[in-house]
Amino acid sequence: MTQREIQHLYLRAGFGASVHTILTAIGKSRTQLIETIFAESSKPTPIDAIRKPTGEELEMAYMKKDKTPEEKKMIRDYVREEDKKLNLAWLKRMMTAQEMFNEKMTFFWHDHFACKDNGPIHAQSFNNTLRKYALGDFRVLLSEVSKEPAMLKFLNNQQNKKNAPNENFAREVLELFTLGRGHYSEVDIKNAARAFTGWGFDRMESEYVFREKQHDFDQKTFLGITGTLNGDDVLRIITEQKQCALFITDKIYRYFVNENGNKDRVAKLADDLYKNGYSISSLMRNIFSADWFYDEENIGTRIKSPIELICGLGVEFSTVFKQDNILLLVQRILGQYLFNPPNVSGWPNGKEWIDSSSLIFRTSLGKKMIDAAPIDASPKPDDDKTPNEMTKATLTKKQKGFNQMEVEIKWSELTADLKDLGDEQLIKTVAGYLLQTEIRPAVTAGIDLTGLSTEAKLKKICSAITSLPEYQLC
Amino acid sequence: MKRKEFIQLSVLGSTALLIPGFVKSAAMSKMISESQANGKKLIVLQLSGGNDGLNTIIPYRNDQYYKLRPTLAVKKENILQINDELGMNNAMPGLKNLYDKGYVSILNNVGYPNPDRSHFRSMDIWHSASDSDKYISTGWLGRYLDHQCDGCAKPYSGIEIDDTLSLAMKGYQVKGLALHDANLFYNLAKGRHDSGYVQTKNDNLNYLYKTLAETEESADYLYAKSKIYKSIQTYPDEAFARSLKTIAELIISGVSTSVFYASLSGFDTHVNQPGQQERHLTRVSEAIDAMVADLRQNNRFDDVMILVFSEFGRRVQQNASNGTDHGKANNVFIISSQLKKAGIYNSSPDLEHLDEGDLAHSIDFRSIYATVLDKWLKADDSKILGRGFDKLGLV
Repeated sequence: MTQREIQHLYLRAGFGASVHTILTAIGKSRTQLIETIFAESSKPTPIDAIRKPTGEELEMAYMKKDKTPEEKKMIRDYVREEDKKLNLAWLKRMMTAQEMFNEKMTFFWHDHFACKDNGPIHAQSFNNTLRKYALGDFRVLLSEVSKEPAMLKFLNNQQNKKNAPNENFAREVLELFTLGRGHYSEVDIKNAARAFTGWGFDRMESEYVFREKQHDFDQKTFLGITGTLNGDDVLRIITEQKQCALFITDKIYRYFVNENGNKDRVAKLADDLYKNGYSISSLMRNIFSADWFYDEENIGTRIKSPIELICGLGVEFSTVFKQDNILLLVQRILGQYLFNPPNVSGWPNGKEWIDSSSLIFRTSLGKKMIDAAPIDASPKPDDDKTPNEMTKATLTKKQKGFNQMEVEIKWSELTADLKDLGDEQLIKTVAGYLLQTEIRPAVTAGIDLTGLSTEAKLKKICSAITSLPEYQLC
Repeated sequence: MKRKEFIQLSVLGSTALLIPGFVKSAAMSKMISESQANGKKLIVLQLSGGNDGLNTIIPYRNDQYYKLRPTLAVKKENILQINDELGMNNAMPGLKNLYDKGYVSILNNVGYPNPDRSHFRSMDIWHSASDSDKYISTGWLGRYLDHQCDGCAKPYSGIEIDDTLSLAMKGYQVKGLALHDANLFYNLAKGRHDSGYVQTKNDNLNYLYKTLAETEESADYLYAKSKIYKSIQTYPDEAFARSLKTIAELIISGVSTSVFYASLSGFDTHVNQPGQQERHLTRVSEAIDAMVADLRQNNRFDDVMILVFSEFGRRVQQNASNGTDHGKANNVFIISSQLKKAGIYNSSPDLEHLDEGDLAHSIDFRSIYATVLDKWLKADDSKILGRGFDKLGLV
């Protein structure tokens, strides 16, 4: 494998690679490297970041009417603090964990099964379910996701009752999670909703429960099959449709390979997925092993999502971010705040991330990190999370240096292999690690390194390279 | 030579000096023709958090209002009377002044079917103009920019005064510009574009370079324009008023921008609403009053329409914390000197027939969008909104 191919694999299967990781991989065959990456993800560990509320606290939160202002504040503070912990635990794991591939898959499913929950317990549980089955059997993933309190709540299935069916969950399962528009009728949605009646969760236990009294046991017809169908039956019938394998494979192809898709390849991959019992890991192995995965048109052509951009800066420089608030702030400014997708259809994609203002901010982020510069922008307010937050007022200069990018980058580790290189060669070598497209001579010529120490040279080169539009691609 | 023409010519003089080489003369001449077109402008003002419309425009003769809001209702003697049913919150004398001049139309009961109580999602719906069970990744004003001249509009055709760009301002091809100040933005953007870049097969890379080039071009354009007119009008010394001052200065300077956007947050008044909401309403009212005065002074108000909205209204009944929770329909203000029907546009909120404790909507907000697009901006509203909506007799 060439260095560029190695980086391609690490960028798509994860969030990039450090120089050390790249050097370790050089010399391995494609199969060897793929197996290494899969082996590193064979045992995903759940995130355990938040403090579980005590029985008394839950009792107060869920059962007590007429809460005092102090009690309400306690709940708000709990949610806010634990939310932050959960967000940061995941973001930092994406940047550092050995099982980066599994985390990337989890991130993909987090976008696919887009779901928001204001309860940190539910959010963590949902996220761990995605993590546990991220490379498993899609049918199990779908079924487990459908029984997560966060999802049942987000898509109103708690309100889906025999006498008053709520179609929200049924509709989104079909449209966004499995088949896509045009492969079912409105009647199918109605009947699927009936099959899901009674699927709810117990608030005290934060667990799925089946409420028999609310379930519609009558006969229903769904996608041509008639019977006393329940929710599990509906999910089974859905995954029996080849269209489901096709829909999932197409989405994965566009995300991991090329946003423009490829009908023939996707059809072939979907066929295999269907035959292999919906094994996601087999599908991913098929993709990463294929020659076409390493075609020119697929390398360095994907616009990084904000999380991919932030994590890339973390991974490639082995950066230790010392200010947690900065990591949260940057996610919000860039518009991708983990655990908070805009709606059930997930986050924007590709060019949708880019406008004049976002591009200026994105292309200056690397330099800000390297220079430990302040983040001088504010995100839009988020009243769902923090009612009446006055962003400008609270996030600037309240504490001195509050929004300063404080990081630790071990430049000495980077310089070990580079210190004997001439300036031009140094620039080319660093660019080789950070970019998937060739650095243009005009750019190289524009970086003046005269009289600088090795570390200062590296800082200058990395600032220049991360501010190139090329660095926005992976 | 008239003063306005003189200013325009002098702009071109100064612009020419600042225009970098990569902006070809064709683009220059297009800028000239645009700046002389002096088309209509739309300013959208967003009240984030869900403004309590019932305490903004107060049904002061309605017993139900006083019954459901024992401590929150605004007393009869504390309102600025509009008619024998409704009065304006007395935190808004500036807006009342504009109302009395016939510049304000108040639309009651504006909303959409199957409303969502999440701030984010409801705002998403207002920005994208989608049905509440559909998801659209572009905004209505962005799509207007797309249609303006088949995607040839520049980022500066739509300007939002903020650090980040709202979904409303993002089209498929054209996305507006978010900035606080033309000088600051110029400094951020300058030198970022690389004129040596040659297009490759990498479509996304081409797009990134194109965006950077347009950003720098827009920054240069606005930087040059922004030197033309510095307001002598007195504005309150506050962020929101400064945003509106920036907008007025750009308009009076003759920028070809057709859509402006600014937001004020803090309307999510679950706790201790009185005083809090009033402070924000005062901010809104004083800022708009100053901007309108500025525009009138410079003979530009006739070209401007202001649309003021919030993502939802609030529950009619007050909560236990002397505040209000998320509701449904709300009022919307349209401010312009060209109104066909100034004053109260439609019937007052019906507090007898509530929808789960909330005001039901009788006007779909997209009818307002459709009317503004069609009658004011002369654009194809059904293309931009995806389908036709009933037009209102506003302008």
